[in-house]
Amino acid sequence: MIIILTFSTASEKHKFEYIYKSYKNLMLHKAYGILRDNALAEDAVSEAFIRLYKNLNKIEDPDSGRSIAFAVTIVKNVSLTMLAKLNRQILEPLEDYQAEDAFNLEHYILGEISAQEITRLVDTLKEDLKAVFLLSFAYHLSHKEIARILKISENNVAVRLYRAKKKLSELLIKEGYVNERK
Amino acid sequence: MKENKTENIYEHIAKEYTDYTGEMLQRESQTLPPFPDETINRLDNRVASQIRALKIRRFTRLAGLAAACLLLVLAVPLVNLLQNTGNKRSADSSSESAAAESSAELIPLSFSLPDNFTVSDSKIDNGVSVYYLTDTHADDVVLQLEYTDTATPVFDSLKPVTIAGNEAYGYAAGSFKMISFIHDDILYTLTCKYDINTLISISKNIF
Repeated sequence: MIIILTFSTASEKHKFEYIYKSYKNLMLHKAYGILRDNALAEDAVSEAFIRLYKNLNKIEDPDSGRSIAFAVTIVKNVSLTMLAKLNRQILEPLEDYQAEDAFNLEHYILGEISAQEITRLVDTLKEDLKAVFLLSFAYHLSHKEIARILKISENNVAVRLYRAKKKLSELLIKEGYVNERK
Repeated sequence: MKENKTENIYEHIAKEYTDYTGEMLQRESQTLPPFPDETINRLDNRVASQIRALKIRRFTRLAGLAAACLLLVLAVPLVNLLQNTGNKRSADSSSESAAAESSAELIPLSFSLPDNFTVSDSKIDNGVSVYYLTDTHADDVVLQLEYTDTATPVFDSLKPVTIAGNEAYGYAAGSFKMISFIHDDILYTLTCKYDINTLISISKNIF
């Protein structure tokens, strides 16, 4: 058991060091872009790296674009939460989400759509919705894991996911990227 | 047209998005100017210290679990052994000496803590003595002690301050406050979340 733990720790350490060295400058810039303050950006990046460290198992290849996107998703979310607290922003009330199967697009098929078009559509989501959507569907994190990484309740995760799917499904249908099955 | 099952449309969209934006972020990261060294150095120290604290907590949990398992495995035969030999005193004394050995490397606190603090836990992490101090005013402190012959103090990015006439170095930003100094050949590093005065009150007692 001790040998397994040692190997796991060594590999974990290597992976984390690589991610830290490769992404810290980018993450500082992303945090600064939101918070406009060096010290606050440092706070946000430090917190984001702790959350990344706790979820290292979600990062398969530290050098991949997916891993960078994961790290940036976390730091942007941490920064926006800090900004909301600083501005004492009143968070939108969360209505109860409805039937679980709503907006699953199960009766639709996806048409031709480019990566640029997908990016444009997903970027119309607010950052808090986008983070939950991506962590759920791109990284396959459970509601519980998302709640832990974003420091929100599981109910909040479910509501945000509901809203993200609702908005995306409406756009996909409206812009003709999905068609009803016949 | 590509046919998708129930949730696969969202999976496809999310995966395409992360792949595409990930590539763009990779390119962007090559062109960004580096942040000032001062910020980077502080961040390096800070993340290293937080990761170290996390590792200690993880190790403590694992060690506790292992100890509990070991105790369970050993308890029954040990009780039998003690009953059979009747040599209870000898067993007690050997367990006391084992406990003393395990804590031999921890640098003891040579000062008294302010009344609002108690030591909730202490560990050794790579030769560093780490004390967790619980504050009744809810600003808990992590105190690290290292002998200066093995420690490498990094004061460059910290602000010089004077505490009770002694030289120290501090840093405060957001929810992270730190004071570090050398006293009696020991490098002291104190961190807390809320108030730098919490650290100053302990530092005064050290000097």
